[in-house]
Amino acid sequence: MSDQNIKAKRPLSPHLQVYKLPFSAYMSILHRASGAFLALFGVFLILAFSYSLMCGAECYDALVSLLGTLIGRLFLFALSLCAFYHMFNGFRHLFWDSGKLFKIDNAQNAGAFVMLATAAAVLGYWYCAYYYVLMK
Amino acid sequence: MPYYKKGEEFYSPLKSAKNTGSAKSGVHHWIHQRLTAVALLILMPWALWSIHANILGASYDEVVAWLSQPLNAILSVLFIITVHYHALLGVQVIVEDYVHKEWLKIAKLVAQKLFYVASAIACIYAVFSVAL
Repeated sequence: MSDQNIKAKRPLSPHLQVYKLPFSAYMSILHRASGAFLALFGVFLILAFSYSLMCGAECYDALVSLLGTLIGRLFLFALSLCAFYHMFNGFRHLFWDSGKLFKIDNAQNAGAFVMLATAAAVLGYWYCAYYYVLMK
Repeated sequence: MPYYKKGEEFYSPLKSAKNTGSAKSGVHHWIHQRLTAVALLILMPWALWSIHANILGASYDEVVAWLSQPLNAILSVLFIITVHYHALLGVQVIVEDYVHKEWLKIAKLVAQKLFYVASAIACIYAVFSVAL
């Protein structure tokens, strides 16, 4: 085969401007984005939480009231969304790593399941937070 | 098979390593990411459940009392170590994928490593100082 034939037979990589990304590609992007969010802000929250506990009751109450503001709650909501999504989709990734769910249908269905499970878990988590914990 | 093509005997291995050659390590990175992922599948639900059961709506003293129980302190330290390690491995891959200026990439990788190690130690120190 000549050089030109080889070049002609090579698959083209997707051109992002004209290529419609499949559902699983969006999930892959979201997985990385949520992971980055958690690695930055989730770790920072753990650091702030444990540091405020060490620092004393005043620090701790200050942090809690800061997180209790609207922006604080939105931040926690985003964090919980990322945490549940990254956890469920990470589970899907572990299936792939063990050689399962490679058929396109299976991968798509598992992805849809991850989306539904994430929505259910986040809503349930915040429902419980409001109605069982904060109202007591 | 030698790493060089014929006529390239005098190139240093660095040339291959900096282009498309293997760095001869990296499998441990992949394995550790999965190991910490599996650990987090256990620790993360525990942490999310603890937030509801013991932290939300609780006073400072109640949270300290919760963290002072040995099991909770141990799981917290495990959670801190695993989260930091998993996060470090993750952000490392992101920087390696998207940052192409060599000096900036190395600077970010070093800064991340230092930050996550420091943050993990600070968190663990805080847990011990509260729990003990």
